[in-house]
Amino acid sequence: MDQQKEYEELDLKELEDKFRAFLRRFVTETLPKIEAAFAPLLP
Amino acid sequence: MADSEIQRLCEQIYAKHGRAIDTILEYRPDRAQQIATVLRRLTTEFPDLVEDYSVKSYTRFTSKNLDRLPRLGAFNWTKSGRFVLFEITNPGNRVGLKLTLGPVRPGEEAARQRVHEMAIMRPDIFNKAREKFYPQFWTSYAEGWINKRSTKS
Repeated sequence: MDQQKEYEELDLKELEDKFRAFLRRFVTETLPKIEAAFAPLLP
Repeated sequence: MADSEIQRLCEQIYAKHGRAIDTILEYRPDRAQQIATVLRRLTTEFPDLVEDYSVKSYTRFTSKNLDRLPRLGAFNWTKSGRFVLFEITNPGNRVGLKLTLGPVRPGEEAARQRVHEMAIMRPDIFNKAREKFYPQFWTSYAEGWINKRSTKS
């Protein structure tokens, strides 16, 4: 399924589940690294 | 059922209910708006995230930690005054997440520059940091959520 079809054809619940997984992975894996890099710039 | 018969039935139905059908189509939620609604709801599920102003194509947030950054944002971006925001982009055919360094108020450019300098020192984290630095909106990190690469995995 190409990106346009996936965007158009997956039902909203499937998309929501996918997005939740992406966001969870971002929050648990990537966000802490970004926050650590920003730490010297925080007051 | 042959196409010509479908067409005839549709014409009959439209002749009888055309006004109602037009009204339904006019107010039908479009796909991007439906997805934007889902994305906004999802950001509220994570207690470490803080919502910012969103529109259909951009669902914006920061984190509680990054919310300690001073509010130096220019008035031509979001009303919050934040100048560093995560944006889930939803232009209508794909979805992804990026970290955007937005415009700052006049006289505050040094803060923007410090963020840029920090990001280019950490390409292991900021995967777009080596790309051209723009004076208004600059992306230091991006990940695709719905794209060809993610669907193949």
